[in-house]
Amino acid sequence: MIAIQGAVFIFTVLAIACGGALGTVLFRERRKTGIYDGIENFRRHIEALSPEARRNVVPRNVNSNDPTDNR
Amino acid sequence: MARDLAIDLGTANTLVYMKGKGIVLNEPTVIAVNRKTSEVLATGHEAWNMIGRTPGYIVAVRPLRGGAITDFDITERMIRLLLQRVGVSRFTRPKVVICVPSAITEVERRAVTDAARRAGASDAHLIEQPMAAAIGAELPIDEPVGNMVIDIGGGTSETAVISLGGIVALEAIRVGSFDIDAAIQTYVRREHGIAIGERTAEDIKIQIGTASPMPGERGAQVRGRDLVTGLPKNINLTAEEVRFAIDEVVTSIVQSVTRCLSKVPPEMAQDFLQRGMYLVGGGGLLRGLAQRIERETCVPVRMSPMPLEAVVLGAGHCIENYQVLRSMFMSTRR
Repeated sequence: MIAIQGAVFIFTVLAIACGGALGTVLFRERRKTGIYDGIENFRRHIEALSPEARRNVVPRNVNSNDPTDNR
Repeated sequence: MARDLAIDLGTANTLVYMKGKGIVLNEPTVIAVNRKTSEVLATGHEAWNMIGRTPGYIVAVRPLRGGAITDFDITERMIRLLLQRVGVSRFTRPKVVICVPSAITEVERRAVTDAARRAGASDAHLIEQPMAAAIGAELPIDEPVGNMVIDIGGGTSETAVISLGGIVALEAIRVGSFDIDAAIQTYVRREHGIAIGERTAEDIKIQIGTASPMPGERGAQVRGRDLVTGLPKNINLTAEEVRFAIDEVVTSIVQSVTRCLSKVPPEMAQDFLQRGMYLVGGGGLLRGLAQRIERETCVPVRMSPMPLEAVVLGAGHCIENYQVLRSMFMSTRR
């Protein structure tokens, strides 16, 4: 009985350790900067500054008379 | 959930842009305080109307000078009131992007962000005014070409060259349109022996102020207090006199533009000759300034379609695209 309990305990500890290790590896893989990440980020940054992207903002210069109107 | 805000906290005017809504507030950066109780009595237009006409116990002040906070406590209270007026409460704390002059020090940056956080912002970021102005002025800063923007505000004048979403060259001086008003006040006091207030000086600048000779110039009648007798007095001031009075300030602004041009890589020089430079900010509205800069730099100068709103619209675009453009914000150590 004690041997079974011991085995269960060891398996549980091993399972948790393996899970943690796997999680850590996956997390680090996701955070690893890929060779194309810089290119992708820069492209998104430049696209967000394009006249097309800015067109959504500038015409909305409505100068509302009621600043509390948050609709 | 509060909508995120972009604030152009200028020396002269404060504009607030609300995400998804546009500009919701535009008024002078002035606050009137009761000296005895330290209570805020008025802000914005109401406080601006009080300047120079208050009883002894009320003081109407501009809490920013040269783009920097001169009175931290009053600025914090003013930002708190601004946020309340656009619907920010204790339970709705928005992210805030504040436009500041690029020349401000680390201490001044921290003062602005701390004031915004204490006033109710969940997070406060800063963006350089010339960068925000270039975005708001709809310049093609996403292209690999030189875009030059001259932002002349109340307390600072900044010239920046921007290409591919970043600043290539920058020149900033703590001289702005308030220095033009002060120069007019000094001239009238020295040459005509009368004292005028800052609002009168601003009116003179708007009515007859020119940076270079213009066709159809006229004079203006100025009312002030005689320094000898202490009585009210009228004088006639000509446009030429005003141009002479403000020449030193205008020259320092033009020289800062020239210095910025000299910092630019040679490849970009031809971009300016073709595309010109763009003027934004209230100071850019001074008649003849564009012509004077154009004459002294040999580069065409164009006026932005919305010179007073360009900065806050640029910051507004950053708040609309917060995740992608957050790398444009200035860093502040907390």
